[in-house]
Amino acid sequence: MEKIVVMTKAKFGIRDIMTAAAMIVLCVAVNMIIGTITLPVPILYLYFSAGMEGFLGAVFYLVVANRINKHGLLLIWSTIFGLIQLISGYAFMLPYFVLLGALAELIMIGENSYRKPVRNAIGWGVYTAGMFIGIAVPLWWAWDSYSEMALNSGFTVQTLDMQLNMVKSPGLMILGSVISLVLAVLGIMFGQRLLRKHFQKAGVV
Amino acid sequence: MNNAHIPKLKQLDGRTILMITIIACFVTFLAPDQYSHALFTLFLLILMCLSGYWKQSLCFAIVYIIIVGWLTIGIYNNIVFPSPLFLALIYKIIMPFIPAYMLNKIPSGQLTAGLRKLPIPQKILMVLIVMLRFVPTVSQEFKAVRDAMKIRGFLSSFGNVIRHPLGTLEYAVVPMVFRSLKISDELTASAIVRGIECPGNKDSYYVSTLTGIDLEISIITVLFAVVCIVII
Repeated sequence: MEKIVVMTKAKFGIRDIMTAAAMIVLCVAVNMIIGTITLPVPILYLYFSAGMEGFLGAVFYLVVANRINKHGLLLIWSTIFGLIQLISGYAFMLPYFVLLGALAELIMIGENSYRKPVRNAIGWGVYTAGMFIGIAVPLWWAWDSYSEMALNSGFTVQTLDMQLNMVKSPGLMILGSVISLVLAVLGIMFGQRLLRKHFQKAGVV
Repeated sequence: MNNAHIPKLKQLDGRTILMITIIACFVTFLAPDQYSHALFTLFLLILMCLSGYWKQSLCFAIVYIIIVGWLTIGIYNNIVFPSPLFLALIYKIIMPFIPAYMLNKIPSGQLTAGLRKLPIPQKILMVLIVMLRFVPTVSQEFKAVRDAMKIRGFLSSFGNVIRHPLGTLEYAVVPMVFRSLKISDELTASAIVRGIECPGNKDSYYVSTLTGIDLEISIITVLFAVVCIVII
């Protein structure tokens, strides 16, 4: 009987799915706002947008993570973002996001890891850094066709050069990943503060 | 049920519209130039008109023309604001948004009945369907929270927002999360009483079958996509 209860708890219930969907929608809305604000400034868009998304998205992620505390959350979260990339026209990003989610999920292995701030910081940080590295995927995939498409779509030559320099330089890629990781961890710290101050007091997580 | 008054294309199955959305995603990315992109967008706009959404189709067409025109003028005159990158992303996203809008207009029960027959993991499918239903709610809630913040003086000046960014963020995010959690709980209760957690095979009030018109539209869409990507 006890075994059945544990198995049921390990599965995603309808309440978990609804909560995750609601928070993902909020996260997508925030990401769209950040993308719109940072796009006019290429350096901000390339190096900081993933980190800023990680900072703000951390609050929503923490609410879901603490509320449902079940494995598979980061995988589902990342897959949904991959599907959104697919709808945006970047179909080849879907497998990348699935792999990224699987990696983040591996980091979260362990009991109650979704309720531990440090584990959440690591998992979410890796996911955010992965989102930054995702910028490089279309370039590694096929630079020529990507640059042709980007120039036809209105990318400036300067932005493309900056993007190419960034991707070709391991130092700059590490710098961007570290920026994203740090912002994501700061986001988790801010989120934990909100969680204690509001959500735990209200009993919603 | 007598569906004679409903346009035939409005009775398309959710799976067909989903397929058109996915094809649009590929075409918007793979279209070799703006002309082929515009051609496929025109095809989707006609499809939308024939489905009964002619007003929305007109709106999409106007936005598309303005964005592409603005982008073209911006590129030729080296205008950096608004960023061509931003305009390019918007015009690229309009194409998949057209079938996505039609998908969003399908009643959730009917959509679920159609999509359940697809080989997609149920959890991911459920998240996607709920997300589709959540988008308008979130935008309404965001407006309500913004109005409340204005009334209480948190958005009184830009300087105030810059001086207290985390405070402003907190006042915006916390009510949004609370409202969203409340709505998600209500949706959960509604779904449970209708038997969503029942482990047996689920049936639907809506009959979801692919008809001749679904097949015709699918073939036409695929052929048109091939023409736009490869031939033109």
